[in-house]
Amino acid sequence: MIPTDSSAVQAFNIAKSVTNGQQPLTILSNLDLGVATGERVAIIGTSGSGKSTLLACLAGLDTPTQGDVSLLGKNLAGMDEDERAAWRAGRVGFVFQSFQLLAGANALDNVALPLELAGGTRRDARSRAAELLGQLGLADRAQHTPAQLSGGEQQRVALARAFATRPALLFADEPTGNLDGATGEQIIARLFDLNAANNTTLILVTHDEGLARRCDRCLRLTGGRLEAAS
Amino acid sequence: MSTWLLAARLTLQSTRVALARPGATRLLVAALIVAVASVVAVTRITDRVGAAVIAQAGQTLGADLKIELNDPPSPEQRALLTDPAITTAATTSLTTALARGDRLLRASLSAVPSRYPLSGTLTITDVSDEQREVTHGPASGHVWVASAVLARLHLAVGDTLTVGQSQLQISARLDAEPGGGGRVFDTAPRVLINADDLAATGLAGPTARLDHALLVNAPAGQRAELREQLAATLAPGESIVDPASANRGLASAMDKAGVFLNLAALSAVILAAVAVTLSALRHGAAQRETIALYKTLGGARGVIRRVLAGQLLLLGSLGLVIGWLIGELAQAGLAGIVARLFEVALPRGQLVAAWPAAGVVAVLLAGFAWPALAGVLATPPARILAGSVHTPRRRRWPAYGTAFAALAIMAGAATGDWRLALWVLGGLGGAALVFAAVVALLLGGLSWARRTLDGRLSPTMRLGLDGLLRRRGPTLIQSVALGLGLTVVFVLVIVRGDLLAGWQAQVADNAPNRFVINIEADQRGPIRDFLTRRDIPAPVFYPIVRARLAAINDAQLADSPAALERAGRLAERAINLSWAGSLKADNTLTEGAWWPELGARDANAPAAMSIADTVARRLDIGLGDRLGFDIAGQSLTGEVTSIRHIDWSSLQPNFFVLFAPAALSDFGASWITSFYVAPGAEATMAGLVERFPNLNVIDIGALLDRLERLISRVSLAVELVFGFTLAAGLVVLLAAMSIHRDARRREAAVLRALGATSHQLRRAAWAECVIIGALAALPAAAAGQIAARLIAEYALHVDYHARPGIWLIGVAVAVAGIAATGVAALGDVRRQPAWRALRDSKT
Repeated sequence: MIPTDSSAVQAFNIAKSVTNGQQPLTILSNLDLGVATGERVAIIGTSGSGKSTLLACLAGLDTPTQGDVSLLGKNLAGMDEDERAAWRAGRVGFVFQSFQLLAGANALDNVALPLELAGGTRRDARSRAAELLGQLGLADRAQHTPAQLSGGEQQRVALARAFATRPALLFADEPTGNLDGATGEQIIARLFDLNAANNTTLILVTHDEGLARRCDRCLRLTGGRLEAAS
Repeated sequence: MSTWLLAARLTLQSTRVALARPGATRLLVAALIVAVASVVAVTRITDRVGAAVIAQAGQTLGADLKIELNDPPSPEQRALLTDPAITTAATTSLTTALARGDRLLRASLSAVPSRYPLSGTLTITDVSDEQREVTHGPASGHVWVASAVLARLHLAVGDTLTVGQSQLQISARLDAEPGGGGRVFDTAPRVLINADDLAATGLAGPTARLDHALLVNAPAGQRAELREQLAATLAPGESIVDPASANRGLASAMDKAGVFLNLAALSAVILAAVAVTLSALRHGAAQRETIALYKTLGGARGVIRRVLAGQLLLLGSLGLVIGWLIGELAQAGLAGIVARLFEVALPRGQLVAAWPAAGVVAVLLAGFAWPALAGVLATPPARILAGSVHTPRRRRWPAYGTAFAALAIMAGAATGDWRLALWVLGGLGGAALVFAAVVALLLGGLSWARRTLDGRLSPTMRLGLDGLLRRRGPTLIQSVALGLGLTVVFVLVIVRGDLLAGWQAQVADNAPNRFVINIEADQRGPIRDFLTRRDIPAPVFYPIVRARLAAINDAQLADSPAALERAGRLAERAINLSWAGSLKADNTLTEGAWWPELGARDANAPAAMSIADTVARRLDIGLGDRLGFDIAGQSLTGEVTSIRHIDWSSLQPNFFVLFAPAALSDFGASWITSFYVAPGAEATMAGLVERFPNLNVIDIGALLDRLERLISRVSLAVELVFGFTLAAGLVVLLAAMSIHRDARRREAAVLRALGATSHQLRRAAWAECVIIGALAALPAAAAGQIAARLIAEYALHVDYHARPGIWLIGVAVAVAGIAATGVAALGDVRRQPAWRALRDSKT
């Protein structure tokens, strides 16, 4: 255990294995991690190294086969999926490689969704969503559905959604993976701006070592364990 | 409250998106539409055509209801009929002897009021020799008589006839009257007089044996309640006759149509259930990413469950409304045709009669769609990060078992035919298991063939086979679903053919339209000669011994009020006993054994006897029970050794009680026969009666005409509802062929990227889809044949005809249809650039 009061995320001796047919496959093994509040941590690794699985375990989207994970001071062990979702609501934000916007909802409703799921009123949620879309230069795109937006615009809407609840912790999974270099650069700039403005802890999973170096700390996932990246 | 609103909004958004894409969600709605449309159409058509048939059959009874009484209507009964909307006519009937010189004739006389009949018409020919239809009886002082009375007593219209102590003028020949269809076998020549003249004839004295009847016409809405109230006033031996029970031929044809329509609708619903299950699985799979996203963003299961349930509610409402409209339009169109051809105003169906449609949607959604969708609820949120995260599988079989039970209960309640509903559902459930085993075996065989023939197979054939064998699970589900759909369609094709063929034979141009009764044994030869000389094929003669029921299991009806009440009208009327060596084609043995299988009987044992199932039910007796008969003062006891179902729609002479040939040799018998007389050959019948004056000839041509009209109408309904079942089969086909459409598209795109030509891809797809078609069609053909035979023989009582040609064509069409649909599903992959298919596909 890494007992630090100021830790946003703590993982102690976690392991994750899955059974594929008859053969067990170990993805994470005896892994420890502590991320301090406000810290920006990048996790890099090759494809298939288990980056997404680690992120899922840290965010409480999945449960480790063994070990404990504490998220924003709450031990996730023993919590069911609903309790974990309720704990995340309003506290944790996500940015995904493939944006993951709701196809049927316009940009404004997509951004407002996490606020409403956290119990906010519709009026407040929409007002906050409009404010964020304005900050990201999308005020005139608020009523557009994802299909009417470019990839960069979709990821900006996803960024707005991630920060809508002013989360204490943000997980970003390959946020520029589906974007061209210039657009990806713009998105990262926005991400770091919002991160700084909201004093959000950031855990970023990427295979882009350049991007990783811009974080406070860079860890490499290899053989199911984390080590400091050189 | 806000989470409900949020769930409602998410429901609307996600449903709109799902419906905007071609695929599973639209198929789900299509399946619901077909199920609702067929249930609405069948319920409403059966309802309305049934009401029209009753209205038409009412004309053959002379009224909506006929109450047969021992005494004139009581004040209590009269009090129930004071509503101005209700009309009544009281009649008195008796058997009397008419005499002219030394000629004597037994006749059936009815004294009727001026307003008679209440429904339908009397057909008479007056002194001007002009035939016309009238809606009143003879005026006081006049008598109308059947042609047999004129022929046998050598009278003519205009002459005077002595009736008891009165002299009445024969003002018309009575050619037809309502009720002729109901009592064809025990009708002495008819004589109609005015009710006011009865007392003067002296025939209705205190010792006279009189049959009283009260005809009642009442608005449709009041009929059932009135019938119940009147039934409560009846004494033992009295009964209420309605058009259906008075006209067994029409009622039986309608019953069969009802069974078939229910079967077709039930089949459409079952097929829809299969399609709903398949498409809900795919609809659910398409929702996984969204559900994972909801969870990731903090959405609780409760909210997500509401969204999924809301989707089903929306899709269900859509299916219900559209299906309802289509069903209503279909039945309205058909009802319009029926009304025009029936020449009667078709009663409006009651809207509540369509309640099963809403129930069907509820069961389909809750029972078949929800288990598929609820499984998706367990999608782990981590799937949003790595699409390949394994989603835990839930056991859905218990849920489907419950759904099947709910469907059975609903089908039983809606059709009122529990046996049929359970047989169909149970049969299909069993068939699904057998299909799964057979298809698994066939797939094993294919796998062996693939390995053995490896080098000799073309690359496209190998590709097709490999694709199929790699996806054994989905292929199995697909083949079983298709197999069930095909079985139902095959069964209905065959049974429908047999049903329609049976009906056509019944009303064929040369179906018997004359019954001749009162034939003496030694007249059979001369009558046969008389007819064959006039090009009428030699008819079959059936013996009749007239008897009265005297005892049930040794309880004499005369001494036992309970037994008398049990016997009801059967104790009042003469029963026609007969004997037969072999079982007629329109009789089906339901219990016991026919004579040859009974073996030798003890010399002192009662005579072996076969009774109709209706008599067994009426008297509450079964095998081994005994009935005592009084035959002109002599007694005869018979023991029930078999029970038969009689197909009255054959319109052939049939008997409730049959003995073995020698059993009635001590009793005097008369004979009955039936044959076809071409239109215009009425002179032949006049000659027959002239030569054999004791004969009674009954013309059932009018009844046959009515039956023919009815059958052509109901055939239309059968075809329409069968169309819905075919549509349901098509939806199953589309749903089944889209099961692993995404995987096949992805593989095709990969192959395309690797250099496979469109031609090669198409051939591989054909190879795979033809095999899937064969896997489904071959077991379905075998199962369909068995099921069609069982349904034809035991549910519809129609002759089953094995038609190998239809099976071969059916299998070929099914395989071609399945293959073409499957190949079409891949068509867009071949047309679009491979990179797009690959980029769009998700792992």
